Amino acid sequence: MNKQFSTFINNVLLLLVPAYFIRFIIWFITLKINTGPEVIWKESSYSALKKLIIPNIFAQDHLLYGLLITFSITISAWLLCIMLSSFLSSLSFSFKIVRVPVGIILWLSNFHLFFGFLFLFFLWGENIEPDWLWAALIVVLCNGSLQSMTKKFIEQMDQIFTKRYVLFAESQGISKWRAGIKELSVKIIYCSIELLPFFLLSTIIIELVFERLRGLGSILLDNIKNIIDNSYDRIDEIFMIVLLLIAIVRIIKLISDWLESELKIN
Amino acid sequence: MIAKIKFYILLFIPITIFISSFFINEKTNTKGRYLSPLKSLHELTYEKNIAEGTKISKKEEKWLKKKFRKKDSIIMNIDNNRDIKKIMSLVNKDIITLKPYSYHILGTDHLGRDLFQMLILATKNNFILSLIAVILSITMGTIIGILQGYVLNRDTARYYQKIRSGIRFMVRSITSIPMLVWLLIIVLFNEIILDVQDDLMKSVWTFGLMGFFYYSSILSEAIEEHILSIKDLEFLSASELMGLSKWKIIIHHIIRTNLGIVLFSQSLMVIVQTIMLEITISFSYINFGLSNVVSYGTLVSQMFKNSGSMNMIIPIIFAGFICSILNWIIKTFKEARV
Repeated sequence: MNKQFSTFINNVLLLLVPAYFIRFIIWFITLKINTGPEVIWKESSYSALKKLIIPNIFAQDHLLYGLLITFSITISAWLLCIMLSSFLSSLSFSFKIVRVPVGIILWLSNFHLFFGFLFLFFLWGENIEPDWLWAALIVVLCNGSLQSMTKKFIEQMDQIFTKRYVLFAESQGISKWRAGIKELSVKIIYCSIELLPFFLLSTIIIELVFERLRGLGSILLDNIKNIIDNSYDRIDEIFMIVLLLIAIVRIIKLISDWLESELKIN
Repeated sequence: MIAKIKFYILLFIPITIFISSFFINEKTNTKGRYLSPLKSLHELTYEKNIAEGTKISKKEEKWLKKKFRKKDSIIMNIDNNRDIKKIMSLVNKDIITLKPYSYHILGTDHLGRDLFQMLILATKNNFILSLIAVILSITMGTIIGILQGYVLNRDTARYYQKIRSGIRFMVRSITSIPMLVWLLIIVLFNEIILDVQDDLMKSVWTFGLMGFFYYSSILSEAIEEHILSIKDLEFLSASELMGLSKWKIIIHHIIRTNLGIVLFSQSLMVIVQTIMLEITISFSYINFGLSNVVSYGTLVSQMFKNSGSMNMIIPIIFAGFICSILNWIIKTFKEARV
C-alpha cells in the first residue's frame, strides 16, 4: 500500500512539476511584457503569486475540441501504422525476396513530416482534403514511425519463431504462425503502445502546417505567437496544453509499464 | 571489416559535403532565373558584323533588337524556350554564337542560385548550428550521466542517493515535456527575455538552449544506463583497489574506453534532430527560425512560398537524405564496434 501510494505521488509529481516549470517560465515572461491594464493580476505581488500557483482550468473548454482533434489524428495514425507494419513485417519475414523493397519503403518513410505536406501541396495546392486523414497518413509515412514499428515487429517475429515451443509445433506439422500467434499479438500490442507517444508528438508538429486542423499543437503555436506579437496573457492556456500533453504521454507510459509487468514481457 | 569500410564510406559523404561548402560563394547568382532540375543556361552572343551582311526575317530582327538592346551577350535558358526556332535559325546563320554557361543538376532556387550549391552551403550552416547543440548537450549530459551512473551511485552514503534521486527526477521531468513545447518556450524566451535581434544569433541561442536542457537530459539518461551496464565489471573495482583516483577512472576507464560509442551515436542523433527542428521552426507558417541565412529550413520555406514546381520538395528530400546517411553512420558504427 505504501509503495503504491509513493508510486502514485511520484506520478502526480512527474505530471505537475514539468507543467508548473513551464507555467513558471510563461508567468515570468508575462510579467516582463506590457500586457495592458486589463491584466489585473500583475497589480500586486500577492495576486501575481496566486496567478502562478492557481491555474484557471475551467475557462479552457475550447481545448477539449483541440484535444479531440489531436487525439483522433494520433489514434488514426497509430492504427494505420499497426496495420501497415503488421503487413510489411509479415511480408518481409515470410518472403526473403521482398526484404529489399520493404527496406526501401521503410527508408523512404524516414524523411520529414513536412516532406509529406509539401508533396501534397505540390499536387493539390491548398486543397488538401480531408485534412485529418492526410495528416494521419503523413505521420505514418513520413516520420519514421512506420520504420520503427515494422522493425520492432520483425524483431519480435525473429524472437518468437525461434523459440523451442514454436519449433516443436512446426516439427509436428502445425504452422508457426498458429503456434506463436498468441505471444506475438501480445508483444505487438506492447510494442505499439510503447510507440504511441511518438505518434502524439508527431501529430502536434504536423498540425502546425495544416491550418484548418485546430489541434493542441496549433493552439499552442497561436498562444505563443499571441504573447510575442500582441503581448497577451496566455499562461493558463499554455499550462493546460502542456499538462494535457504530459498527462497523455504519462498515461501511455503507465499502461505500457503495467502491460510489461502483467504479461511478463522480456 | 565490411562494416568498417561501410562506415568510412558513409562518413566520407557528409565530410566531403561539409568541406566542399567552403568553396561555394553564396553571392553567385544567375540573375533571378528559375530553372527546373537538369536544366542549363547558355550564353548567347550577338555577332553584329556578321548580322549586317546576312539576310534575316523581320521577326528575327525584332527579336534581336529586343534581346540585345543593352548588351551584346545575354544568358538564357534555351530548353523549352518558345523562341527556340528563331534562336537556332540565327545560330545556323552564325549571327548568334551559343556557348554553355552553367548546368544545374537540381535546378535553381527562386533567386536563380544553383540549388545544389545552396544545399551544400545549407549543410554547412546546419552542421554548425547542430554543433552548438552537440557541444552543450555532450558537456552537460556527460557530467550528469557520470554523476548519476558512477559518482553518486558507487558511494553508499544516504544523502548521495537522495541527490541522485533528485537529479533523476529533474531529468525525467525535463524529458517528459514534449520537444515541440521546449522549442516554442525557448523561442519565446529568446524573443522576450534575451531580446536577440540577429537572425543567426537567435537560432544559435535556440539550439544552444535546446542542447543544454533537453538533449543533455536525454544523453545523460543514455550515459547513465551505459555506465550502469559496465559498473559491475571487474576492471572498475580493480582500478579503485589499485588506488586510482575517481577522476582518472572517469577519464580513462569510463569516458575514453567505454563512452565513445554512446557519445558518437548520440551526437549524430542530436545533429539529425537539430536539422529536423530547424526545418520545422523556419517553415513559413511558423516563422521562428532563420530567414536570411542559407539553411535547409530557409530553402524549404522560401521554395514553398515562391515556387509551385517540383523544386519545392528538393531541399527537404536532400535534408532527409543527409539525415538518413547520419542514421546509417550510427548503425554501421555500432556494427563495426561489435
